[in-house]
Amino acid sequence: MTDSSSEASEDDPPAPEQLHSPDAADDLYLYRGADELVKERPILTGDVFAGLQIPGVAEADGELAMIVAHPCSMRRGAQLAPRILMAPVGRHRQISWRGSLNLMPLPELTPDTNFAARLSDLGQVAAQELHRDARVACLSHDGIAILHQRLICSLTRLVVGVPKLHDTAEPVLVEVELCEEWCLAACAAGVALAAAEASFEEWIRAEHNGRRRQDRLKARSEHSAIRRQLWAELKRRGWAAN
Amino acid sequence: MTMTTSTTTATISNETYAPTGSSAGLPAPAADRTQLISDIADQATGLRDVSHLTAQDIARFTDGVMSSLLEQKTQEAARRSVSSLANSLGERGFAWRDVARLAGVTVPALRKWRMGEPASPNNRRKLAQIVALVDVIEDRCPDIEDVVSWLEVPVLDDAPTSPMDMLAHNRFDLVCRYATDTFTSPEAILDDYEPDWRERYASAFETFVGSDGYLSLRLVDSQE
Repeated sequence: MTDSSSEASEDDPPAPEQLHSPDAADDLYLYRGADELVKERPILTGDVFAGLQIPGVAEADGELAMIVAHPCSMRRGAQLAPRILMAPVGRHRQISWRGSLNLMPLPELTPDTNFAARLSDLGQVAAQELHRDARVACLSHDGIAILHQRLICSLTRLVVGVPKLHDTAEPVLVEVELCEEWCLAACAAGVALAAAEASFEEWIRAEHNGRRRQDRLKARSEHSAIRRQLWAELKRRGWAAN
Repeated sequence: MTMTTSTTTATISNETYAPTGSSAGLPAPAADRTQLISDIADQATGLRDVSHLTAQDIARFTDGVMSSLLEQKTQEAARRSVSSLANSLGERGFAWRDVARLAGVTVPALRKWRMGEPASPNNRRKLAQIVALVDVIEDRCPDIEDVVSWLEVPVLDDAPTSPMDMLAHNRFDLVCRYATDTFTSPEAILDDYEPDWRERYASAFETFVGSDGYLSLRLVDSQE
């Protein structure tokens, strides 16, 4: 793995000052490394995979790649879309949020090593090539919004505030959280992952008080109620640990 | 606590200006009327100041009471195990990412606590404080039907800041005031927490539900 393939070139435009900079590397990630990653988490925007070559994109050093597709456009219910938009990820000597606009910095992606996703070299990968066990990191909600802010600006020079980007993705992100929680409990109780996901899909699409739970997630004020229902359902099925 | 009261009243009555004899039916002397209105204005200003100071006194008193109550409840909750505290927050509807954020740890670290791994006394206290806050608000603010939802929803539509964000920055005092003080406006709460919120969150974009059913963004003036 070289140390320079994701470095900014002289032709790269700098990132505008209006783009968001996280306070700390920890703010970017939900999970990093095998100790933290869980296979029950559905594949999602911001997931970084090892051993993955993006067709048509040259020299993704070390063959790391990150999903950059929007959460709403990369899924068909519980299933992934057939092809997923991804960016190559390579090592990066110095992380600067004011550096190249075409890079999404990934500081300390692995212990003591900085990486960056190259947003100008996007390509599509067949969904069946994405394996949960090959993930090396998952971005946090904030990390996903920051990724999309840079991607939008890189492609269009338009700066959209991170809170607004977060708002649009939030229903899907919360649904993924709920699915992860459901599958963790179900799998711990001996249910196969595919069956657990199918049962979650049925539950989240079911109507409750005249509205589908999935639709209710579009209102933030409803999130806590849906989470409580999930806990109650896990207990009813005998899957909850406590 | 110091409480200031006033019995001052301001009235225009016949006792103040009662025309008699040849002056009956004539307008009051201009100078006297000006003086009278000026006095009333002074009294009104004084009343407003007294009212303002009294409101501040009450707010400080309430803040103190809520702080004491929160501390008492926190000490009670801290007797429970870390896994019990964490799981009770989950059952109440908290997102794990929020619990982790409030406790100052990662989601994986929080998961380990839920599975029974020990936490430091300081971290246990952080969880206990969140449990205590929910208990206090449920006890003291019956108009807040779903405390976790209330914590998650932004204080104003114009800014994304929620009480949960304030808690993450250890502003339990501000969240308690927002919950209990119906005279303090949401704008005043945000002014205290994040004075530049108006400039910081000014946006040309708004969210809307697209024809595909997903939330989307558009320029504010592009609505048709």
